[in-house]
Amino acid sequence: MTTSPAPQAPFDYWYGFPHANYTEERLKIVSDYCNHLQEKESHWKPYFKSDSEFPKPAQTNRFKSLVRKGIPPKLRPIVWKGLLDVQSVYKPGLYQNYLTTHESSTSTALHDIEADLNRTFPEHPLFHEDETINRLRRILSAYSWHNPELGYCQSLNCIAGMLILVYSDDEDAFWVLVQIINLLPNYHGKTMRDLRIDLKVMDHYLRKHVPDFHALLSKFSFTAEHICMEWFLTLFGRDFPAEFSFRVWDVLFNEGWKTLFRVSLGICTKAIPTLRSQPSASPIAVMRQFCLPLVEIDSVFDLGFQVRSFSRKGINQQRENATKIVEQEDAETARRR
Amino acid sequence: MIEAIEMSYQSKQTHVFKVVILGESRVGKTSILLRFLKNQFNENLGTSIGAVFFAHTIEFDNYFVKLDIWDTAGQERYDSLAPIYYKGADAAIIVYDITSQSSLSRAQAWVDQLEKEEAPQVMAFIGNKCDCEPQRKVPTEVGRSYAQEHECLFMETSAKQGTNIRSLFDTIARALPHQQQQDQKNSNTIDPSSRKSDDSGCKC
Ligand SMILES: Nc1nc2c(ncn2[C@@H]2O[C@H](COP(=O)(O)OP(=O)(O)OP(=O)(O)O)[C@@H](O)[C@H]2O)c(=O)[nH]1
Ligand SMILES: [Mg+2]
Repeated sequence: MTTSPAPQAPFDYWYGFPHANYTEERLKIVSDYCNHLQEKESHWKPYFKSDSEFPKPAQTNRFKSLVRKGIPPKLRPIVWKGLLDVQSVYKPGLYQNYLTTHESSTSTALHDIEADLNRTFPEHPLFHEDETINRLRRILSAYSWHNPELGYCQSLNCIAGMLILVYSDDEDAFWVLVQIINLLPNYHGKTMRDLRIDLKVMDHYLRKHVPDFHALLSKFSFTAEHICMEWFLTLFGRDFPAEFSFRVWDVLFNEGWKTLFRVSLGICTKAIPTLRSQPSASPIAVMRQFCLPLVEIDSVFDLGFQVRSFSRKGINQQRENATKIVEQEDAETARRR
Repeated sequence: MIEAIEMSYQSKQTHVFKVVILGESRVGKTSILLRFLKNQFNENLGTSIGAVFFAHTIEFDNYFVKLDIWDTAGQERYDSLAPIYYKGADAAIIVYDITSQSSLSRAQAWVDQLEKEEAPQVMAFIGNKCDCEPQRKVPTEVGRSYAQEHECLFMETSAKQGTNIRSLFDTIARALPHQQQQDQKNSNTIDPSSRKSDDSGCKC
């Protein structure tokens, strides 16, 4: 006997975020291209081992470019777990165990988490619901026990919050979070030193590859540090359309942290005409308004990924230089104390 | 968005100043700013990450003062990032919460740190949440005498009720150009013909 499948609600490409004040044109760009991605699901089928298993494929150019064009939103939950190789760290029961063992523990991390629960995506109706807040609390506190060295850093609430919108199971969201942080330099750690270093490296690449943008910033004594800090910490997870964030995550999970640099360069290149059109306004403010409704994802990626001479070796050289500067700054601060 | 001010910029000079707000997490830094910029109070603001930038122009009789404000994140681990925002600041607003002893120590540590570096021309030492009198842990006199010792402006404010918020920013804005004229330092003054409208990145 066959029954016709229940009609499915249309997929919400805005993930519940308010988008009423986007222009028709922008709304259409997103729905058109998400529908287009959805049609491409067949391209992904060969990579699946079963409906729920997606082993990380070899990094062929073909696969890379498939991911850069975007993972069909409905496949994301499974594909991300595959790309991040969650399987390799997953321990059954561990997540639940953290929660039970520490049911009545207290810590600085828990205290900080508690204060951020109601300050996570306040514009999103789901985050006004107790159930969502409880999920967020569970995932972030379990993470703080899993990685006590890091504990909790403001911005993880945004990453975990976005994951909640994709994964209906807390345990999935938890392990994906674990692997996301493993993928990154130690940006969120107690000293945030890796972040300071990479922001300086970012400033170098911005000056080198998008000199016009860098000059516009310098005019107001801003650097890439001011522009990119939140991008690197939230992984573009806040103050962009959700689909933008997730497209970045698609590539980030496949290609690693270099993606953060490339996407930053792409956004900055794309923003030059907008910045030029408002020469007396503060570039930070202009950039914020520019990013909030930024849905031209493909063109940002094209601009960012076409940048040449961007090798890990080159970046590591830049990191060495930046590390010296950060060490000097720290020594200077210590001397004054 | 703050309403753009488009007026007789030709006849008035605009002085641009950089302001940084520092203080322990949850003392109400973002709330103070939101009250100042939009006259609103919102129990649930987004967590500040890194720092958020706002610009606002205040009009005086003979000049405009444009404040470029960095609202920093208060979680302790962000401390090492703070110099990115306070470097070159003309004014610092250092906030504690009158119901929290630890936030007072944190605020005092910021004053110390700024004094040892290039101290901003104007520092304001601010006890926020003065609407919470029953929970008060820091007597007004403690805040005031510390501020006096360190040549800071002092005020107790309530972002919730709007107490002293306007006056805080007005006082800072007035304090700044005066000192600047005495110093004959005009590097912060921008050419009035080059600017048309003010813009700001306020999205709360
Ligand atoms: N009663 C009272 N509550 C306040 C006042 N100002 C802020 N709050 C509350 O204190 C909490 C923290 O306020 P925020 O403005 O987010 O604090 P913050 O200093 O910006 O915190 P971080 O961004 O984490 O550094 C919020 O729940 C506010 O509603 C005030 O004047 N009175
Ligand atoms: Mg804040």
